[in-house]
Amino acid sequence: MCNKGDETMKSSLQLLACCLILLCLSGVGLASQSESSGSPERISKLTVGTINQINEANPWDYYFGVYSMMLSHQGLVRFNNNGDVDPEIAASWDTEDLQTWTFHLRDDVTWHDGQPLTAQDIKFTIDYDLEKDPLSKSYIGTIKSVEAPDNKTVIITLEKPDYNFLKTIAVVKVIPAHIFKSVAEPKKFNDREAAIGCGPYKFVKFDKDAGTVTYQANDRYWGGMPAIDTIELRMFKNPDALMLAFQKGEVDLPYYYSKGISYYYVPNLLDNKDIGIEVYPERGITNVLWFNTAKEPFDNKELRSALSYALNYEELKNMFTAGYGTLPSAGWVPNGTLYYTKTRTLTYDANKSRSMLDDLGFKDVDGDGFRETPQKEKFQPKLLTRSDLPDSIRAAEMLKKYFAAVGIDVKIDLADKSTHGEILDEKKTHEMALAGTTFWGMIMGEGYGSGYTDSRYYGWSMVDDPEYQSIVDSLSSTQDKGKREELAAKIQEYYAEQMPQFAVYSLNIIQPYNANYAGWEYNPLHGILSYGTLFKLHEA
Amino acid sequence: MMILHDRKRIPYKVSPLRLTGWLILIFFLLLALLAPFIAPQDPCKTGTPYLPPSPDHLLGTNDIGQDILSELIYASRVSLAIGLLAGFMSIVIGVAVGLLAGYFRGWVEELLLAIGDLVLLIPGLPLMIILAAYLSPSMWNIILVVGLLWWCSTARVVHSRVLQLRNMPFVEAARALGCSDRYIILRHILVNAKEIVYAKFALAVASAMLTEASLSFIGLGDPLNISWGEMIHFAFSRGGFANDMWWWYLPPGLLICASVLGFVLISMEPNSRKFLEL
Repeated sequence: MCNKGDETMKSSLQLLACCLILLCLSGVGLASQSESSGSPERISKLTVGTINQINEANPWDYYFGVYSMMLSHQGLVRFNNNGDVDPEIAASWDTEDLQTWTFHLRDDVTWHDGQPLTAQDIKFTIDYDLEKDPLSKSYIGTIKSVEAPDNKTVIITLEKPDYNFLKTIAVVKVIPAHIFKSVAEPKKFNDREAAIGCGPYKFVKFDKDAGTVTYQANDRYWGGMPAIDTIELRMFKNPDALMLAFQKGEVDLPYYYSKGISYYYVPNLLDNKDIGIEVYPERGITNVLWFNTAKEPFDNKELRSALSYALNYEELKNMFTAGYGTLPSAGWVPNGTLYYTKTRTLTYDANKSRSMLDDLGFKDVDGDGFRETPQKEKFQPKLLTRSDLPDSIRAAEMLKKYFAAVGIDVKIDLADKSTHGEILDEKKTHEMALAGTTFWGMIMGEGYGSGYTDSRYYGWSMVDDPEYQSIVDSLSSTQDKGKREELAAKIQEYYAEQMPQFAVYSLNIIQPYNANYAGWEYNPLHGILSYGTLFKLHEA
Repeated sequence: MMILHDRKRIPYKVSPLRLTGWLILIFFLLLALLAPFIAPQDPCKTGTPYLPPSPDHLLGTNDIGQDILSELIYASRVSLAIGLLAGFMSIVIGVAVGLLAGYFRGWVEELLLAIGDLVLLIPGLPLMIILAAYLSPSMWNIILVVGLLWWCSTARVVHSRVLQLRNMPFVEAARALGCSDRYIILRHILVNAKEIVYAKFALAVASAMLTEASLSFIGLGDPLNISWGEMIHFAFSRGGFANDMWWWYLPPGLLICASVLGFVLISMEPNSRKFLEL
């Protein structure tokens, strides 16, 4: 009985082993079949790892919207690798007065469901955005009307001339009217159809549990077939986990929108021959200290200036950027911006900060080591920052330490991404905030960070000073290059003088990638996951 | 007042396991209380980041140049405070519910145990993650979340003990003598359930410390009050793991294990050496 059982078990094991071998052989066969199915130049799958968290496959979800803009959706125009605009859905455009813009659309653009894209879709998108998304008024609020006289022509009329309009409209992704016309609440419309676009990649699936989003190359794309068959986004909660997966080869590209990796990952990567690293200049600013100038006492430029002397920029640079950053300038806009003007470098002078605070009447009257307001009231300003960004939390801790050293007791107020955005963009209840800017953020509004500064746009620092707003208005209506250069210098001098916000530190974009692939192209808006990369990537 | 003793037990003999537990806990309590005297440096003082262990910094420095050993010593205060306060809160609620349900029975028992069952039905850690994410990241919110969700098992154990006690002759005698319910609960029932309460308290503290470390590790703790869990969180999100800086992430992990072990050991029954169920 016992022997028979052994024999039965033995034959079962043999059968199992045979099955496994067959399974492995068929797997190898399938794998080699899939490898050989495409052309040798093509890349069958690119795995992109990110810590950007997508919550829903809905174009109104912030990060899904960002990746849609790169892969599945398009706008009238797009940013090229120099930061200027190139045609996209619009083949050409013209304007005489910067107020009325006429766009002539390509005639071969179709949606992923096969429907043709027409001028009606463009009109619908802008009208729909303005109606359904209050935040869109912060950047396209000056659009007075959109007309579609025929299927291939769009006429956009603005309330006032806008030199920067092309750059603003470049981030408006067109959505299909035939799908969204019956959708009353787009932010709750998570149907698969919500992700239909007209770009080089089609959305395939969002697996929330696995934290992956899959895109497939669009073989009917008007610009030809892109170079990668499948792009999979893998979301990581943590940058260390992402970098470990990258070093093990599970991820081809660690990617954060508008940011690079932190410098402390670089030494390990340098030893890995399968990994390449490029460093690009930061066209946004990694961390900025914002003051709500509509609130007392931060409406006082002397106080803002006094606080700027309390920070040890050299130490911050060493701590947060190592050799990959520069000392910030008072003129705030990053070096590399068109008509960048050299202004004084921000310096650390705690004694000067203390004496300026004394002169302003901020003195420690109750002997607790911290200053009170000139009205002898407790002064404990709140510093808002993101709770999900460890770098920002650490930078906020450093700022608290510096301010404490000059007698200001700062309370760090942590908020998650959506609450943080709600406070800065809509409620404006913050006093001070620590947050970074992106390349597009710096050019929105009328450029030079006016979208972040001017209270008529997003206005994180809520500047409504007529002097500042007249510079912004002049930038909006001036086409003459010489005059624009003068205005650019003027706005940077305004920042240096008034300091409605100032850079704390800025880290260049450190971008590692899989060196077994070549053809990576960097774009200031989308970084290395650029339009060029999608079409030029190939086996090295 | 009458206190029941199990005849099989030797009342004042401390088992080696319990003794070990007490020694561990005394060590950690002293570490927390004497932190300013023991820590070699001010844990807030910043300097050169990412230094490996050296005679100046025995466990190196963290991402903002703080001495890791000093941070480790000071973090014991936060970890223990969160554990003890959350444990205390869960015990107060659990004991109150267990005593009232067991003593009064009837609709009070049904209602309180139903609430307990309801809370037990909800998966603990996921709910804590949601609550911690919804509330702002603060040490007090962690204490509140853990304290409010960890009382059910205590309530059940205390309830069972009270059911045993409430019909015993000395309780009936007290009732016959006209003692008030409050007097009987506090002076007769609670006193005789104290062993269970002490053991559950120790386990609740251990559970609270582990929960706090879990929440902190996934980034839902209070990053401004550095606990051992927060230290691991920063090591895991600012290059400690990717660069294999074991001196940064391993010591707080070991201290979490040791302190939890200490609390679990003191909750073990001296003779049977069995753990009370969590």
